[in-house]
Amino acid sequence: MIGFLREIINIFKPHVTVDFRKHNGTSSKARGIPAYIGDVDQCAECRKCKTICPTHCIEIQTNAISFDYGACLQCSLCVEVCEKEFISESGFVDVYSARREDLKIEYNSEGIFNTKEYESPAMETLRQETIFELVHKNGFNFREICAGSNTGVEWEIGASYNNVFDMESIGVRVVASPKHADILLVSGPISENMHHGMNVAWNTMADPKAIIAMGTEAVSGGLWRHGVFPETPKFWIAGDPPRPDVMVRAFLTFMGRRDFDFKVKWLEFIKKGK
Amino acid sequence: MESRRVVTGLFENLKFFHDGKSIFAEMSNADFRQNLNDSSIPISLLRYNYGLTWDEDYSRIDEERYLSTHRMDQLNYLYDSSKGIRGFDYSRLEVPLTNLDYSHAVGPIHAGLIEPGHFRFSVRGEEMRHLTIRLGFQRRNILDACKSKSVFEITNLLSSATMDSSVANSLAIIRAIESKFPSPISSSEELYRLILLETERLAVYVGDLGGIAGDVGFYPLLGVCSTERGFPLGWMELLTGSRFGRFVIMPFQSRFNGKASLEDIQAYLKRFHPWLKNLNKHIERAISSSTLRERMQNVGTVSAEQSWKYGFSGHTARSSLAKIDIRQSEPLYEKLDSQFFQSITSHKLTGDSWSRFLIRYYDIQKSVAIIQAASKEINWSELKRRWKPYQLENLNASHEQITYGVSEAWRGSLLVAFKWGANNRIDKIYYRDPSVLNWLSLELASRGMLIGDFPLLNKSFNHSYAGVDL
Repeated sequence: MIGFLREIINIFKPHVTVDFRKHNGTSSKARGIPAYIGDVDQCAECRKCKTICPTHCIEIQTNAISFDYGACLQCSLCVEVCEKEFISESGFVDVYSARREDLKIEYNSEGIFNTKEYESPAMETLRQETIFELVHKNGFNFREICAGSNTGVEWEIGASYNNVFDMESIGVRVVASPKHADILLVSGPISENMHHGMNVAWNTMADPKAIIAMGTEAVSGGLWRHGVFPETPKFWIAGDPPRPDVMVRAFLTFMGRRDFDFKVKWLEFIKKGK
Repeated sequence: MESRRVVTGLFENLKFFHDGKSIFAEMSNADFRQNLNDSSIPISLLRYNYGLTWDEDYSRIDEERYLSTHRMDQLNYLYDSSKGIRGFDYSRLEVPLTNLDYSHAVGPIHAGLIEPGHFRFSVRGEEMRHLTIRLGFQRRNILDACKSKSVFEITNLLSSATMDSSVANSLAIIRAIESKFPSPISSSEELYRLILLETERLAVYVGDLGGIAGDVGFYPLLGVCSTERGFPLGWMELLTGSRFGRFVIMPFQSRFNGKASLEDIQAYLKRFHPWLKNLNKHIERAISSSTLRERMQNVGTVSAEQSWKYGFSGHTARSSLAKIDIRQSEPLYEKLDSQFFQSITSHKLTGDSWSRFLIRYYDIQKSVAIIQAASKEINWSELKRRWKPYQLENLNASHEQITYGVSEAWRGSLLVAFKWGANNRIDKIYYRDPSVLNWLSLELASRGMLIGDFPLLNKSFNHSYAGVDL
């Protein structure tokens, strides 16, 4: 009886689930990806950020500096060593795209960053795929393959199913058998000994199917050598590991239910910050 | 009983002993063959240190002999005089079967969100006769990646071995570095490390309780725990900027989240008590339910005797009342909470799944208490100063050729040792995750249990695959 009353009271309590429509891609206390806000010309000599980066994802050329956010572990060590304070901790965590190259950002002396080769949003290509029709309408089931992941991604996927993030409400479910899956979610740098297992799982899946790379290690290998996917992933989600809310927003984007383009939003974000 | 000790690591000419309270090193010139005959060295450790991979066919071995816990019987099939000792990696496996039994291979991909491994069950009807576990699928060649890297890079690489014990990993690593370069550490720094280590334990144990509840079909607690785990993770993120405390603990001075203000921290600390009260209410409800208790009692018992013999640690050992916990040798724990190592339960802990459920519940209480006690002592503003990459060249190095560091991860006692070469560079690394020794407990505990108990067993131990497959 008391339990029943508690349920009734619960109906009137404010809900704890995150409203993903109202989110701007940042997390107030997380480090997020580093934002470069300096003057490229002054950065040619000092290579402190490049040296300290655990995954060596910073490249310094004359008049340009590029950050590969698909390889960034969001450790903020580059922020700490930059004496000129040209790199800042952004708190921006929504690092995912349908195109791997989009996660690489070049900052040059002309503008905040280079947009010259940015012709079409990455989602346009994804929309042409047969898998898109399915996931857009019905959501999807995924089978997760842990291929050398250090369990961070697994913990956070688990968390994304709690009542704060509520992944199932957007129509994304975990399934045990690849035969029931539409998406193969790969985490970890793809260890050599998992190649075979992963390929078997992939070949068992029925069409239409796609691979999503989950976590920085899957996107770029992170600290380790990167293995080979059975097929190029259709979506890349970076983060070490991606936060549960990032996963949900990334899946919503992948399903075409949310308008998000990493390059565009990141440019807006940096401009606002400056 | 108290004077017992077990070898917990082997590196170069050092033999590391675990006496329950601490890990200490002794010189030893024993070669592989001598170590093989030394019954104080668990076979798991030998397999980790010297293990080689070859195709295994044990189908001709008598099943009784395969199940024997005698060292000689185990070595009889794990050791081959022409090759060496068989490691943990899977290649090909045949296990002994009688014509009443059925053998079933599970893995490397398991059902659910879990790391890969090869589990070979042999079942008679519903009963598991034996279980043989082979790993190796997670191998990222971490030790190769560490070759000819700087001390700083090695810290980052090695602490990334397992995400769920990032703090414990980095703690053991930096203690090994700090004993090479002895230098005073501020008391706030010590307290900060303790807080992070206990926060990690707290987060994982809350998640584990939910996982265990899920595996026995008690979903209300699974729902509560998977949500409430966010609280310690949020605390970790507030302090460090990362939910898992990645790249935070550094030699001499750890990093601190620049975005965390003193007010934020005080406000969060105030929320600990109501959070715990609410969580306890749900866990107590599960504990007071006789069906849950009976479901878990006498399932997968690991005795204190076994823990000492095979070198188990962490909740695997402590749930059987074996006092194996190296936090006992850290004066800070006793200082902050004189009752910390006292038992707080009237329940009898026997080493079964139920005890492993309970020990996590009690550890949660203790971790919260010690986090709060440490937060009263700590000077937060001292931690907030800007982190600088340390310069080892400017420090006085000790003459020790080999230094080591230990930490009590939530899985058990973790050991890291470095061999130092010229110019204070690291020549050789020894990293021994508690799971190296603990994995055997799952094999032993499964025998004679029902196959339906296996998910519960596996979750109640929660060993690491990535920590063993470096």
